[in-house]
Amino acid sequence: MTDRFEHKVVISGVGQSEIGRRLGRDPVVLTAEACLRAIADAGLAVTDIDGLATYPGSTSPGPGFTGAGLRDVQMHLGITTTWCEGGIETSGQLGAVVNAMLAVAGGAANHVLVWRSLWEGSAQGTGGRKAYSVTDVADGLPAWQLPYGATAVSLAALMVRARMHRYGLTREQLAWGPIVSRRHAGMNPSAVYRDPLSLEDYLSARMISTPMCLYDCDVPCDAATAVVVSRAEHASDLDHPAVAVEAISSTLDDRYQWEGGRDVTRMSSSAAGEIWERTDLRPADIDYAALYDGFSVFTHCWLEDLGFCEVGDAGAFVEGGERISLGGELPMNTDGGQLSGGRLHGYGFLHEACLQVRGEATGRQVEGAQTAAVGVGASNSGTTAMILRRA
Amino acid sequence: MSAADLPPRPRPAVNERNAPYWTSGADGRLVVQRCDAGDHLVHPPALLCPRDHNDELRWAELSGRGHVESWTEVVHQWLPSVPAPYVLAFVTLDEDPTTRVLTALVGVEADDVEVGMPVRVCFERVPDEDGPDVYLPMFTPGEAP
Repeated sequence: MTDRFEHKVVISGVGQSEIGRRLGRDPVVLTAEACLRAIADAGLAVTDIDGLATYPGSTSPGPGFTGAGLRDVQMHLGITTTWCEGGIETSGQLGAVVNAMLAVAGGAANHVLVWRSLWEGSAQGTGGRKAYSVTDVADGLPAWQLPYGATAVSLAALMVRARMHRYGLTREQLAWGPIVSRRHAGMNPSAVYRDPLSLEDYLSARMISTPMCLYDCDVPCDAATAVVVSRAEHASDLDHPAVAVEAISSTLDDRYQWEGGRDVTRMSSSAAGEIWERTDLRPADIDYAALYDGFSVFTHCWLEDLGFCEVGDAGAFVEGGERISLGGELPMNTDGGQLSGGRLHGYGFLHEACLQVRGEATGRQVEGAQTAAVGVGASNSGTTAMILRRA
Repeated sequence: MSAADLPPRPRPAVNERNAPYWTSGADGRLVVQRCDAGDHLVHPPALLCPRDHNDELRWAELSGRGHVESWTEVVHQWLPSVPAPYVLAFVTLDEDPTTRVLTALVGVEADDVEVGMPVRVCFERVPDEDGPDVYLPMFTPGEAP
Protein backbone atom coordinates (compact mmCIF):
# COMPACT_ATOMS: atom_id res chain seq x y z
CA MET A 1 0.00 0.00 0.00
CA THR A 2 1.12 3.52 -0.73
CA ASP A 3 2.91 5.18 2.17
CA ARG A 4 0.53 7.86 3.42
CA PHE A 5 0.88 10.04 6.51
CA GLU A 6 -2.74 9.63 7.53
CA HIS A 7 -2.31 5.86 7.88
CA LYS A 8 0.38 6.34 10.55
CA VAL A 9 -2.00 8.03 13.00
CA VAL A 10 -5.28 7.52 14.80
CA ILE A 11 -7.69 9.84 16.54
CA SER A 12 -7.35 8.33 19.99
CA GLY A 13 -9.59 10.63 22.02
CA VAL A 14 -12.33 13.23 21.68
CA GLY A 15 -13.79 15.66 24.18
CA GLN A 16 -16.36 18.41 24.31
CA SER A 17 -17.06 21.08 26.89
CA GLU A 18 -20.47 22.13 28.08
CA ILE A 19 -22.27 23.70 25.08
CA GLY A 20 -24.71 26.59 25.41
CA ARG A 21 -26.09 29.63 23.72
CA ARG A 22 -24.57 31.94 26.38
CA LEU A 23 -22.82 30.15 29.21
CA GLY A 24 -21.01 33.17 30.64
CA ARG A 25 -18.05 30.93 31.53
CA ASP A 26 -14.46 31.87 30.83
CA PRO A 27 -13.56 30.47 27.41
CA VAL A 28 -10.15 29.25 28.60
CA VAL A 29 -11.84 27.21 31.33
CA LEU A 30 -14.31 25.82 28.78
CA THR A 31 -11.41 24.92 26.51
CA ALA A 32 -9.54 23.19 29.33
CA GLU A 33 -12.69 21.16 30.07
CA ALA A 34 -12.81 19.85 26.48
CA CYS A 35 -9.06 19.21 26.38
CA LEU A 36 -8.95 17.28 29.66
CA ARG A 37 -11.90 15.15 28.53
CA ALA A 38 -10.19 14.34 25.21
CA ILE A 39 -6.92 13.43 26.96
CA ALA A 40 -8.74 11.16 29.42
CA ASP A 41 -10.72 9.58 26.56
CA ALA A 42 -7.42 8.79 24.84
CA GLY A 43 -6.29 6.95 27.97
CA LEU A 44 -3.51 9.43 28.52
CA ALA A 45 -2.19 11.68 31.26
CA VAL A 46 -1.65 15.36 30.54
CA THR A 47 2.10 14.70 30.75
CA ASP A 48 1.80 12.28 27.78
CA ILE A 49 0.76 15.16 25.48
CA ASP A 50 3.85 16.40 23.67
CA GLY A 51 2.25 18.32 20.80
CA LEU A 52 -0.37 21.08 20.53
CA ALA A 53 -2.27 22.46 17.56
CA THR A 54 -5.23 24.80 17.27
CA TYR A 55 -7.27 26.87 14.85
CA PRO A 56 -7.31 29.89 14.57
CA GLY A 57 -4.81 30.54 17.35
CA SER A 58 -5.34 33.81 19.18
CA THR A 59 -6.40 35.60 15.96
CA SER A 60 -9.96 36.84 16.35
CA PRO A 61 -11.57 38.56 13.38
CA GLY A 62 -14.89 38.78 15.24
CA PRO A 63 -16.24 38.83 18.81
CA GLY A 64 -15.74 35.46 20.52
CA PHE A 65 -14.25 33.82 17.43
CA THR A 66 -11.49 32.23 19.47
CA GLY A 67 -11.67 31.15 23.08
CA ALA A 68 -8.13 30.00 23.76
CA GLY A 69 -4.90 30.34 21.81
CA LEU A 70 -1.92 28.02 21.84
CA ARG A 71 -0.30 29.68 24.84
CA ASP A 72 -3.54 29.74 26.88
CA VAL A 73 -3.83 25.95 26.81
CA GLN A 74 -0.10 25.22 27.04
CA MET A 75 0.26 27.37 30.18
CA HIS A 76 -2.98 26.45 31.92
CA LEU A 77 -2.56 22.70 31.45
CA GLY A 78 1.19 22.81 32.11
CA ILE A 79 2.17 21.03 28.91
CA THR A 80 5.70 20.74 27.52
CA THR A 81 5.79 20.27 23.77
CA THR A 82 8.22 18.92 21.23
CA TRP A 83 6.01 20.34 18.44
CA CYS A 84 3.24 22.96 18.33
CA GLU A 85 1.41 25.36 16.05
CA GLY A 86 -1.66 27.56 16.01
CA GLY A 87 -2.97 29.73 13.21
CA ILE A 88 -5.69 30.69 10.81
CA GLU A 89 -3.80 30.40 7.53
CA THR A 90 -4.50 26.77 6.70
CA SER A 91 -7.02 24.64 4.83
CA GLY A 92 -10.00 25.73 6.88
CA GLN A 93 -10.75 24.85 10.49
CA LEU A 94 -9.53 21.25 10.36
CA GLY A 95 -6.18 22.32 8.93
CA ALA A 96 -4.87 22.18 12.51
CA VAL A 97 -5.86 18.50 12.75
CA VAL A 98 -4.11 17.73 9.47
CA ASN A 99 -1.00 19.51 10.76
CA ALA A 100 -1.16 17.43 13.94
CA MET A 101 -1.38 14.25 11.87
CA LEU A 102 1.64 15.29 9.79
CA ALA A 103 3.59 16.03 12.97
CA VAL A 104 2.81 12.64 14.52
CA ALA A 105 3.40 10.73 11.28
CA GLY A 106 6.69 12.59 10.86
CA GLY A 107 7.88 11.73 14.37
CA ALA A 108 7.78 15.27 15.75
CA ALA A 109 5.36 14.26 18.51
CA ASN A 110 3.59 11.18 19.88
CA HIS A 111 0.28 12.61 21.08
CA VAL A 112 -0.97 15.96 19.77
CA LEU A 113 -3.87 17.73 21.46
CA VAL A 114 -5.94 19.79 18.98
CA TRP A 115 -8.78 22.14 19.94
CA ARG A 116 -11.26 24.71 18.62
CA SER A 117 -12.91 26.97 21.13
CA LEU A 118 -15.56 29.68 20.70
CA TRP A 119 -17.56 32.02 22.92
CA GLU A 120 -19.49 33.86 20.22
CA GLY A 121 -22.74 33.42 22.14
CA SER A 122 -21.55 35.37 25.16
CA ALA A 123 -19.33 37.77 23.20
CA GLN A 124 -22.13 38.85 20.88
CA GLY A 125 -24.42 39.32 23.86
CA THR A 126 -28.18 39.57 23.85
CA GLY A 127 -30.36 41.20 21.23
CA GLY A 128 -29.27 39.45 18.06
CA ARG A 129 -26.12 38.52 16.25
CA LYS A 130 -23.44 41.18 16.36
CA ALA A 131 -20.72 39.47 14.41
CA TYR A 132 -20.14 42.64 12.40
CA SER A 133 -18.75 45.51 14.35
CA VAL A 134 -19.72 48.91 13.00
CA THR A 135 -16.75 51.01 12.01
CA ASP A 136 -16.33 54.10 9.83
CA VAL A 137 -13.73 52.42 7.64
CA ALA A 138 -13.61 48.81 6.47
CA ASP A 139 -10.25 47.33 5.47
CA GLY A 140 -9.16 44.05 3.92
CA LEU A 141 -11.88 41.61 2.89
CA PRO A 142 -14.73 43.56 4.59
CA ALA A 143 -13.81 46.63 2.50
CA TRP A 144 -15.53 44.95 -0.45
CA GLN A 145 -18.60 43.94 1.57
CA LEU A 146 -19.50 46.19 4.51
CA PRO A 147 -19.91 49.47 2.57
CA TYR A 148 -22.81 47.77 0.78
CA GLY A 149 -24.19 46.18 3.94
CA ALA A 150 -23.09 42.76 2.71
CA THR A 151 -22.33 40.09 5.32
CA ALA A 152 -21.59 36.37 5.10
CA VAL A 153 -25.26 35.42 4.98
CA SER A 154 -25.85 37.61 1.92
CA LEU A 155 -22.89 36.06 0.15
CA ALA A 156 -24.31 32.60 0.91
CA ALA A 157 -27.71 33.83 -0.29
CA LEU A 158 -26.16 34.84 -3.61
CA MET A 159 -24.88 31.27 -3.88
CA VAL A 160 -28.35 29.88 -3.16
CA ARG A 161 -30.06 32.15 -5.72
CA ALA A 162 -27.49 31.18 -8.35
CA ARG A 163 -28.15 27.50 -7.56
CA MET A 164 -31.90 28.07 -7.90
CA HIS A 165 -31.38 29.67 -11.29
CA ARG A 166 -28.87 27.18 -12.66
CA TYR A 167 -29.79 23.88 -10.95
CA GLY A 168 -33.48 24.39 -10.16
CA LEU A 169 -32.94 24.30 -6.38
CA THR A 170 -36.06 25.26 -4.40
CA ARG A 171 -36.58 26.52 -0.84
CA GLU A 172 -38.61 23.36 -0.22
CA GLN A 173 -35.48 21.32 -1.01
CA LEU A 174 -33.09 23.56 0.92
CA ALA A 175 -35.35 23.17 3.96
CA TRP A 176 -34.49 19.51 4.50
CA GLY A 177 -30.98 20.02 5.85
CA PRO A 178 -32.25 22.30 8.64
CA ILE A 179 -35.30 20.09 9.32
CA VAL A 180 -33.32 16.84 9.56
CA SER A 181 -30.60 18.50 11.63
CA ARG A 182 -33.25 19.62 14.11
CA ARG A 183 -34.75 16.12 14.19
CA HIS A 184 -31.29 14.74 15.00
CA ALA A 185 -30.64 17.45 17.58
CA GLY A 186 -33.67 16.15 19.45
CA MET A 187 -31.66 12.94 20.01
CA ASN A 188 -28.54 14.82 21.21
CA PRO A 189 -28.78 16.21 24.76
CA SER A 190 -25.86 18.58 24.04
CA ALA A 191 -27.55 20.31 21.09
CA VAL A 192 -28.58 23.95 21.50
CA TYR A 193 -31.99 23.82 19.73
CA ARG A 194 -33.93 20.56 20.11
CA ASP A 195 -37.61 21.38 19.47
CA PRO A 196 -38.95 19.85 16.24
CA LEU A 197 -38.92 21.99 13.09
CA SER A 198 -41.53 21.34 10.38
CA LEU A 199 -41.44 22.26 6.71
CA GLU A 200 -44.19 24.80 7.46
CA ASP A 201 -42.10 26.31 10.28
CA TYR A 202 -39.19 26.64 7.87
CA LEU A 203 -41.17 28.16 5.04
CA SER A 204 -42.86 30.72 7.31
CA ALA A 205 -39.69 31.72 9.20
CA ARG A 206 -38.45 35.28 8.90
CA MET A 207 -36.12 35.94 6.01
CA ILE A 208 -32.57 37.08 6.73
CA SER A 209 -31.33 37.60 3.18
CA THR A 210 -33.65 36.16 0.53
CA PRO A 211 -33.96 33.28 -0.26
CA MET A 212 -32.32 32.36 3.07
CA CYS A 213 -34.30 32.38 6.29
CA LEU A 214 -33.38 32.19 9.97
CA TYR A 215 -33.12 28.37 9.91
CA ASP A 216 -30.53 28.41 7.13
CA CYS A 217 -28.05 30.06 9.52
CA ASP A 218 -26.04 28.34 12.23
CA VAL A 219 -26.30 29.22 15.92
CA PRO A 220 -23.51 31.13 17.70
CA CYS A 221 -22.74 29.51 21.04
CA ASP A 222 -20.09 28.96 23.69
CA ALA A 223 -18.29 25.63 23.34
CA ALA A 224 -14.94 23.94 22.94
CA THR A 225 -14.08 20.69 21.18
CA ALA A 226 -10.80 18.77 21.40
CA VAL A 227 -9.28 15.67 19.83
CA VAL A 228 -6.05 13.78 20.43
CA VAL A 229 -4.04 12.55 17.46
CA SER A 230 -1.69 9.67 18.33
CA ARG A 231 0.69 7.28 16.62
CA ALA A 232 -1.27 4.39 15.10
CA GLU A 233 0.39 1.91 17.49
CA HIS A 234 -1.47 3.58 20.37
CA ALA A 235 -4.76 2.11 19.11
CA SER A 236 -4.18 -1.16 20.99
CA ASP A 237 -3.86 0.70 24.31
CA LEU A 238 -7.36 2.18 24.12
CA ASP A 239 -10.48 0.90 25.88
CA HIS A 240 -12.55 1.86 22.83
CA PRO A 241 -12.07 1.53 19.06
CA ALA A 242 -9.57 3.99 17.67
CA VAL A 243 -10.55 6.11 14.71
CA ALA A 244 -8.31 5.48 11.72
CA VAL A 245 -7.85 8.05 8.97
CA GLU A 246 -8.38 6.43 5.60
CA ALA A 247 -7.81 9.53 3.47
CA ILE A 248 -7.41 13.30 3.66
CA SER A 249 -7.87 16.23 1.33
CA SER A 250 -6.75 19.75 2.26
CA THR A 251 -7.80 22.36 -0.23
CA LEU A 252 -7.11 25.98 -0.91
CA ASP A 253 -8.57 26.90 -4.24
CA ASP A 254 -9.52 29.98 -6.20
CA ARG A 255 -9.33 33.55 -4.93
CA TYR A 256 -10.21 34.24 -1.32
CA GLN A 257 -12.97 36.76 -1.97
CA TRP A 258 -16.24 35.18 -2.93
CA GLU A 259 -16.65 37.48 -5.89
CA GLY A 260 -13.27 36.40 -7.25
CA GLY A 261 -14.30 32.78 -7.65
CA ARG A 262 -14.72 30.95 -10.92
CA ASP A 263 -18.24 29.78 -10.10
CA VAL A 264 -20.60 31.39 -7.57
CA THR A 265 -22.52 28.14 -7.09
CA ARG A 266 -19.47 26.33 -5.72
CA MET A 267 -16.73 26.70 -3.08
CA SER A 268 -13.20 25.47 -2.46
CA SER A 269 -14.44 21.94 -1.69
CA SER A 270 -14.87 21.62 -5.47
CA ALA A 271 -11.35 20.13 -5.40
CA ALA A 272 -12.13 17.74 -2.50
CA GLY A 273 -13.17 14.86 -4.76
CA GLU A 274 -9.49 14.05 -5.14
CA ILE A 275 -9.77 12.37 -1.74
CA TRP A 276 -11.06 9.23 -3.48
CA GLU A 277 -7.69 8.85 -5.18
CA ARG A 278 -6.21 8.15 -1.73
CA THR A 279 -8.51 5.23 -0.83
CA ASP A 280 -10.15 2.17 -2.32
CA LEU A 281 -13.39 3.08 -0.55
CA ARG A 282 -16.13 4.64 -2.71
CA PRO A 283 -18.89 7.09 -1.72
CA ALA A 284 -21.33 4.16 -1.53
CA ASP A 285 -19.14 2.61 1.21
CA ILE A 286 -19.65 5.57 3.55
CA ASP A 287 -21.99 4.97 6.49
CA TYR A 288 -22.18 8.50 7.90
CA ALA A 289 -21.62 12.05 6.60
CA ALA A 290 -20.55 15.00 8.76
CA LEU A 291 -20.80 18.02 6.48
CA TYR A 292 -20.26 21.68 7.29
CA ASP A 293 -23.49 23.65 7.60
CA GLY A 294 -22.50 27.13 8.73
CA PHE A 295 -25.18 28.02 6.20
CA SER A 296 -27.51 25.26 5.02
CA VAL A 297 -26.39 25.45 1.38
CA PHE A 298 -22.83 24.41 2.21
CA THR A 299 -23.94 20.81 2.82
CA HIS A 300 -25.15 20.77 -0.79
CA CYS A 301 -21.69 21.72 -2.04
CA TRP A 302 -20.11 19.03 0.13
CA LEU A 303 -22.55 16.30 -0.95
CA GLU A 304 -21.73 17.08 -4.57
CA ASP A 305 -18.01 17.63 -4.17
CA LEU A 306 -17.49 14.40 -2.22
CA GLY A 307 -19.33 12.54 -4.97
CA PHE A 308 -22.50 11.53 -3.13
CA CYS A 309 -24.44 13.08 -6.01
CA GLU A 310 -23.74 15.00 -9.20
CA VAL A 311 -23.03 18.74 -9.12
CA GLY A 312 -26.38 20.51 -9.04
CA ASP A 313 -28.32 17.49 -7.76
CA ALA A 314 -27.96 18.00 -3.99
CA GLY A 315 -31.38 19.65 -3.69
CA ALA A 316 -33.07 16.55 -5.08
CA PHE A 317 -30.74 14.32 -3.03
CA VAL A 318 -31.89 15.76 0.31
CA GLU A 319 -35.54 16.37 -0.66
CA GLY A 320 -37.98 14.73 1.73
CA GLY A 321 -35.20 14.16 4.26
CA GLU A 322 -35.29 10.34 4.43
CA ARG A 323 -31.95 9.79 2.72
CA ILE A 324 -29.99 12.00 5.15
CA SER A 325 -31.90 10.98 8.31
CA LEU A 326 -30.82 8.43 10.88
CA GLY A 327 -31.85 5.11 9.31
CA GLY A 328 -31.49 6.50 5.79
CA GLU A 329 -29.02 5.81 3.03
CA LEU A 330 -26.54 8.48 4.17
CA PRO A 331 -27.33 9.80 7.66
CA MET A 332 -25.93 13.32 7.98
CA ASN A 333 -25.09 15.50 10.99
CA THR A 334 -26.66 13.33 13.70
CA ASP A 335 -25.49 15.80 16.38
CA GLY A 336 -27.73 18.49 14.87
CA GLY A 337 -24.88 20.09 12.95
CA GLN A 338 -24.16 23.75 13.54
CA LEU A 339 -27.71 24.70 12.48
CA SER A 340 -29.22 23.15 15.61
CA GLY A 341 -26.30 21.75 17.60
CA GLY A 342 -24.41 25.05 17.80
CA ARG A 343 -21.62 26.70 15.86
CA LEU A 344 -18.66 24.59 17.00
CA HIS A 345 -16.97 25.75 13.81
CA GLY A 346 -16.06 22.50 12.15
CA TYR A 347 -14.90 20.47 15.14
CA GLY A 348 -18.39 19.30 16.08
CA PHE A 349 -18.53 17.41 12.77
CA LEU A 350 -15.23 15.65 13.48
CA HIS A 351 -16.30 14.87 17.06
CA GLU A 352 -19.62 13.33 15.98
CA ALA A 353 -18.00 11.36 13.15
CA CYS A 354 -15.54 9.84 15.65
CA LEU A 355 -18.40 8.86 17.99
CA GLN A 356 -20.30 7.28 15.08
CA VAL A 357 -17.44 5.09 13.84
CA ARG A 358 -16.68 4.11 17.46
CA GLY A 359 -20.33 3.10 17.88
CA GLU A 360 -20.76 5.52 20.79
CA ALA A 361 -23.30 8.05 19.50
CA THR A 362 -25.76 7.15 22.22
CA GLY A 363 -29.39 7.68 21.25
CA ARG A 364 -28.54 8.49 17.63
CA GLN A 365 -26.08 5.76 16.59
CA VAL A 366 -26.00 4.81 12.92
CA GLU A 367 -26.39 1.05 13.09
CA GLY A 368 -23.14 -0.74 12.27
CA ALA A 369 -21.33 2.43 11.22
CA GLN A 370 -17.72 1.68 10.26
CA THR A 371 -16.91 4.63 8.00
CA ALA A 372 -17.58 8.37 7.92
CA ALA A 373 -16.93 11.23 5.54
CA VAL A 374 -16.14 14.59 7.14
CA GLY A 375 -16.21 17.79 5.10
CA VAL A 376 -15.43 21.05 6.88
CA GLY A 377 -15.05 24.60 5.60
CA ALA A 378 -16.94 26.89 3.28
CA SER A 379 -16.69 29.57 0.61
CA ASN A 380 -13.13 29.98 -0.65
CA SER A 381 -11.58 30.13 2.81
CA GLY A 382 -10.14 26.62 2.62
CA THR A 383 -11.62 23.21 3.21
CA THR A 384 -10.54 19.86 4.64
CA ALA A 385 -12.17 16.49 4.01
CA MET A 386 -11.45 13.24 5.84
CA ILE A 387 -12.59 9.67 5.38
CA LEU A 388 -12.57 8.00 8.80
CA ARG A 389 -13.06 4.34 9.70
CA ARG A 390 -13.12 2.20 12.79
CA ALA A 391 -9.56 0.92 13.40
CA MET B 1 -35.88 58.39 9.28
CA SER B 2 -35.03 60.11 6.02
CA ALA B 3 -31.86 59.28 4.14
CA ALA B 4 -30.34 62.59 5.22
CA ASP B 5 -30.58 61.60 8.88
CA LEU B 6 -28.68 58.34 8.48
CA PRO B 7 -25.11 57.99 9.67
CA PRO B 8 -22.69 57.55 6.73
CA ARG B 9 -22.04 54.07 5.39
CA PRO B 10 -18.75 52.41 6.31
CA ARG B 11 -16.16 53.49 3.73
CA PRO B 12 -13.68 51.13 2.18
CA ALA B 13 -10.11 51.90 3.23
CA VAL B 14 -8.80 53.53 0.06
CA ASN B 15 -5.23 52.65 -0.83
CA GLU B 16 -2.91 52.67 -3.81
CA ARG B 17 -4.16 49.32 -5.01
CA ASN B 18 -7.90 50.04 -4.98
CA ALA B 19 -8.26 53.85 -5.24
CA PRO B 20 -9.35 54.02 -8.89
CA TYR B 21 -12.23 51.58 -8.29
CA TRP B 22 -13.55 53.51 -5.32
CA THR B 23 -13.02 57.10 -6.49
CA SER B 24 -13.51 57.26 -10.27
CA GLY B 25 -17.24 57.56 -9.79
CA ALA B 26 -16.58 61.24 -9.03
CA ASP B 27 -16.38 61.63 -12.81
CA GLY B 28 -19.14 59.09 -13.44
CA ARG B 29 -16.64 56.49 -14.65
CA LEU B 30 -16.41 52.80 -13.72
CA VAL B 31 -12.80 51.61 -13.86
CA VAL B 32 -11.63 48.06 -13.19
CA GLN B 33 -8.19 46.44 -13.42
CA ARG B 34 -7.40 44.82 -16.72
CA CYS B 35 -4.74 42.28 -17.74
CA ASP B 36 -3.71 42.94 -21.35
CA ALA B 37 -1.63 39.74 -21.44
CA GLY B 38 -4.75 37.63 -20.98
CA ASP B 39 -7.38 40.03 -22.30
CA HIS B 40 -9.56 39.94 -19.20
CA LEU B 41 -10.50 42.00 -16.16
CA VAL B 42 -9.14 41.40 -12.63
CA HIS B 43 -11.37 42.12 -9.65
CA PRO B 44 -10.95 42.62 -6.74
CA PRO B 45 -7.72 44.42 -7.67
CA ALA B 46 -4.51 42.42 -7.44
CA LEU B 47 -0.77 43.02 -7.68
CA LEU B 48 -0.35 40.30 -10.29
CA CYS B 49 -2.93 38.80 -12.60
CA PRO B 50 -3.77 35.44 -10.94
CA ARG B 51 -4.10 33.81 -14.36
CA ASP B 52 -1.16 35.26 -16.32
CA HIS B 53 1.12 36.55 -13.54
CA ASN B 54 1.36 39.82 -15.43
CA ASP B 55 2.40 42.55 -12.97
CA GLU B 56 1.51 45.45 -15.25
CA LEU B 57 -2.22 45.53 -14.71
CA ARG B 58 -3.81 48.77 -15.86
CA TRP B 59 -7.03 50.50 -14.93
CA ALA B 60 -9.53 50.34 -17.77
CA GLU B 61 -12.58 52.57 -18.11
CA LEU B 62 -15.60 50.41 -18.81
CA SER B 63 -19.00 51.06 -20.33
CA GLY B 64 -20.64 50.55 -16.93
CA ARG B 65 -22.93 47.93 -18.40
CA GLY B 66 -23.41 44.49 -16.89
CA HIS B 67 -25.87 41.71 -16.08
CA VAL B 68 -27.25 40.40 -12.79
CA GLU B 69 -25.63 37.04 -12.06
CA SER B 70 -27.32 36.58 -8.68
CA TRP B 71 -29.15 38.79 -6.18
CA THR B 72 -30.54 38.85 -2.66
CA GLU B 73 -32.85 41.13 -0.72
CA VAL B 74 -31.32 41.76 2.70
CA VAL B 75 -34.15 41.80 5.20
CA HIS B 76 -32.24 41.58 8.49
CA GLN B 77 -30.95 44.94 9.69
CA TRP B 78 -27.13 44.79 10.02
CA LEU B 79 -25.82 48.35 9.92
CA PRO B 80 -27.60 51.51 11.14
CA SER B 81 -26.28 53.34 8.07
CA VAL B 82 -27.78 50.86 5.59
CA PRO B 83 -31.50 50.50 6.35
CA ALA B 84 -33.09 47.17 5.37
CA PRO B 85 -34.51 46.02 3.09
CA TYR B 86 -31.98 46.53 0.33
CA VAL B 87 -30.88 44.51 -2.69
CA LEU B 88 -27.35 43.18 -3.22
CA ALA B 89 -26.11 41.46 -6.34
CA PHE B 90 -23.26 39.93 -8.18
CA VAL B 91 -23.07 41.82 -11.48
CA THR B 92 -20.95 40.48 -14.33
CA LEU B 93 -19.27 43.15 -16.42
CA ASP B 94 -20.10 43.19 -20.13
CA GLU B 95 -16.47 43.72 -21.19
CA ASP B 96 -15.58 40.39 -19.48
CA PRO B 97 -18.55 38.31 -18.24
CA THR B 98 -16.17 36.03 -16.25
CA THR B 99 -15.53 38.98 -13.89
CA ARG B 100 -18.14 40.02 -11.35
CA VAL B 101 -18.50 42.74 -8.74
CA LEU B 102 -20.37 42.59 -5.45
CA THR B 103 -22.67 45.59 -5.46
CA ALA B 104 -26.09 47.00 -4.60
CA LEU B 105 -29.02 47.31 -6.99
CA VAL B 106 -30.91 50.58 -6.67
CA GLY B 107 -33.97 52.04 -8.35
CA VAL B 108 -35.68 48.64 -8.51
CA GLU B 109 -37.95 46.63 -6.23
CA ALA B 110 -36.75 43.16 -5.25
CA ASP B 111 -39.84 41.62 -6.89
CA ASP B 112 -38.73 43.05 -10.23
CA VAL B 113 -35.14 41.78 -10.14
CA GLU B 114 -34.27 38.80 -12.33
CA VAL B 115 -31.10 36.83 -12.89
CA GLY B 116 -29.73 37.89 -16.28
CA MET B 117 -31.32 41.34 -16.36
CA PRO B 118 -29.18 44.13 -17.89
CA VAL B 119 -28.01 46.84 -15.53
CA ARG B 120 -25.85 49.97 -15.71
CA VAL B 121 -23.60 51.60 -13.17
CA CYS B 122 -24.49 54.52 -10.93
CA PHE B 123 -22.68 55.81 -7.84
CA GLU B 124 -23.38 56.67 -4.23
CA ARG B 125 -21.04 59.21 -2.66
CA VAL B 126 -19.66 58.45 0.79
CA PRO B 127 -17.95 61.59 2.12
CA ASP B 128 -14.53 61.46 3.74
CA GLU B 129 -13.25 64.53 5.58
CA ASP B 130 -9.66 63.25 5.53
CA GLY B 131 -9.29 62.24 1.89
CA PRO B 132 -11.03 61.93 -1.45
CA ASP B 133 -14.72 61.01 -1.24
CA VAL B 134 -15.59 57.42 -2.05
CA TYR B 135 -18.09 56.72 -4.83
CA LEU B 136 -19.53 53.23 -4.33
CA PRO B 137 -20.33 51.63 -7.69
CA MET B 138 -23.95 50.48 -7.68
CA PHE B 139 -26.19 49.33 -10.51
CA THR B 140 -29.67 50.12 -11.73
CA PRO B 141 -31.81 48.51 -14.45
CA GLY B 142 -31.10 49.67 -17.96
CA GLU B 143 -29.17 48.98 -21.12
CA ALA B 144 -27.05 52.10 -21.60
CA PRO B 145 -25.85 54.96 -19.40
